[in-house]
Amino acid sequence: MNCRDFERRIYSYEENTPSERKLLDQHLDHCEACKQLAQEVFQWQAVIKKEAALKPEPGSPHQLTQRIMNGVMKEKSGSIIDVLADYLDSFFVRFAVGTLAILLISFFIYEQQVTVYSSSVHKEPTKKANHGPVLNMASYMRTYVKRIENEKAKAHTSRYSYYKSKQAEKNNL
Amino acid sequence: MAEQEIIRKATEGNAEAFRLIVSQHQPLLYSVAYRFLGNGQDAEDMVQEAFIRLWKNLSKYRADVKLSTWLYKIVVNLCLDVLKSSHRRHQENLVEIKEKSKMNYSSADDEMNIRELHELIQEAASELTPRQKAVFILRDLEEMNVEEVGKILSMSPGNIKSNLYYARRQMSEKLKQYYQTTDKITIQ
Repeated sequence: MNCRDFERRIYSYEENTPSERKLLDQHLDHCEACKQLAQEVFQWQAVIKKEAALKPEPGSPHQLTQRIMNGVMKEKSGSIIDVLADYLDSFFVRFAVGTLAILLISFFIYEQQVTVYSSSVHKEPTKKANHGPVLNMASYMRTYVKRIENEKAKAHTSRYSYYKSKQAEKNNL
Repeated sequence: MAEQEIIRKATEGNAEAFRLIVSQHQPLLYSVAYRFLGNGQDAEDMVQEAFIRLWKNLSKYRADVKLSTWLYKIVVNLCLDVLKSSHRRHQENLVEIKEKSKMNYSSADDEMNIRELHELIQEAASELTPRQKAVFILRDLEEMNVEEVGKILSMSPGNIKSNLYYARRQMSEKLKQYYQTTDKITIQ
């Protein structure tokens, strides 16, 4: 070990282990430069101890205690809100709210897609037929054919009865 | 009443029990905060904030840690935050030191010498890094043991020794410089 290594140990003399201190003491016995540094350092540490002996005190300890207690009581009275705020600020609640938000967004997107899909498959319901005159071709044709058939039958019947009457006239003659 | 009993009552919301904790630990915390900030008003604010934090987190208190260590940790962290954020310079401290809290002096001469010494140490300490200053204050001015300083600052003994070395060397140099320029070598 050289003097530079011992310099560190001089500044932390009290913090050294017994073996470190013994080694340092042995070095100080024969190293004049380190011995002088050690004397200086110990002197300044004695000066600092004077400062350490003077404990700063508040102007009025009682007033400071009261001020602290006032601050604490203020905290205590607002504690329900704080507890609620702390709870809402907790990781669990943040996670839950985040998850709920993701679920709602997913549900919304899903709903949108289902609506678009169903509107593309299902046709809009057809309008009911108006109650006004509607040309029903089948019905009209059925009536028309029936009327024609009736007329034909009448004509046939009338021709047949005319023929019969003529036959009867001939027979009478 | 035993400390654990007082803490238990305070945890249950007993204001009187908490007042006992405040009155018992307030002087120690004020001393540390004052040495960090060099200003009585700031020190009182820090102490108040530390106790409010203690009140809010008392339910998390573990009996295996000394309450004083926990409180020191809170106040030191608050002070370190202030030091790191405000980048206080020693000129600012010198002005603030003029108005300060009560110190115990035995005579007028003593008062003058010690006030001078106090200002000098505050000035020299203001040039240390926040970590060095914290180690110096807790170990040399508050005279705590290395183990307790380690717990408060969450530092290893080796780290503490290293910070102490730089802090003490700088303090010694400043003191030497001052006493040499003012011819006031009255140290025994």
